[in-house]
Amino acid sequence: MDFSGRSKSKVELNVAPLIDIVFLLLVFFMLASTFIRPESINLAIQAPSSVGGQSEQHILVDIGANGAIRLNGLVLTIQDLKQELLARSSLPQNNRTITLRTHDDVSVQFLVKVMDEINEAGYSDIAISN
Amino acid sequence: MVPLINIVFLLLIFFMLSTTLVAPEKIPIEAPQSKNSQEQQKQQFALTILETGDIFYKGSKTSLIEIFEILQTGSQQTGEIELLIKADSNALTKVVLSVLEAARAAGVGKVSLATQRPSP
Repeated sequence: MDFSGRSKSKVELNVAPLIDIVFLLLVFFMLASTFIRPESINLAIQAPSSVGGQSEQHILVDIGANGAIRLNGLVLTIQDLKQELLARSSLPQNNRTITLRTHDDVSVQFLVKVMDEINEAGYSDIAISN
Repeated sequence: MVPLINIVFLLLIFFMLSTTLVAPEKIPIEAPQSKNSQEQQKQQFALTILETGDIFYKGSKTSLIEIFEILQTGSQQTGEIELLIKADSNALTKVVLSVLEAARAAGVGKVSLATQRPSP
């Protein structure tokens, strides 16, 4: 069989402009892409349930104006907070919700830092109030 | 020639699929760093709180009452709404808490606070 007759028509796809466009698109996406994913933490929306009205089981973390932390009245540093919370979580009748009370002049970064420590101690329910 | 084009096409497809084109922030803030954050979900409502305590919604400065009204009409129209607070790390918690309280009163279903990974 002779197929040479077909290829004689010499239709040649001109790829150079196509490659140009593809390169341009490539450069665009390489420059425009951001690989940093925005992140967030959830804030509990429900109002803290009657602070102080509950028994001693209820855990209250207080952040003072100068960054002093008090856990149910016990003054702590931020480094000790996690240990102290972990010690409490081993108690059988623990309450998994924590009320976090902050002073008005505490920075958001410090609040998030304290919330991180509380999260790492295994408490996921944090009700914030002031 | 053809292998080169194949590779370039592959790269192009990789970048097209992996990119998330994020609109540049009009009001840049330094989000607080957190180790326990989740990936941000797309939120209908996003507020920006600056270090100075000013609250911005859609690029313009708003008051707490206006925010309450916006959130209330939003939650009445579409039911449960989600709010994202983008607060500067040096902003004061009282502003964030007052926004949280306004959201609570307006019937917002979920509130989250924008964070960033701590730089190593």
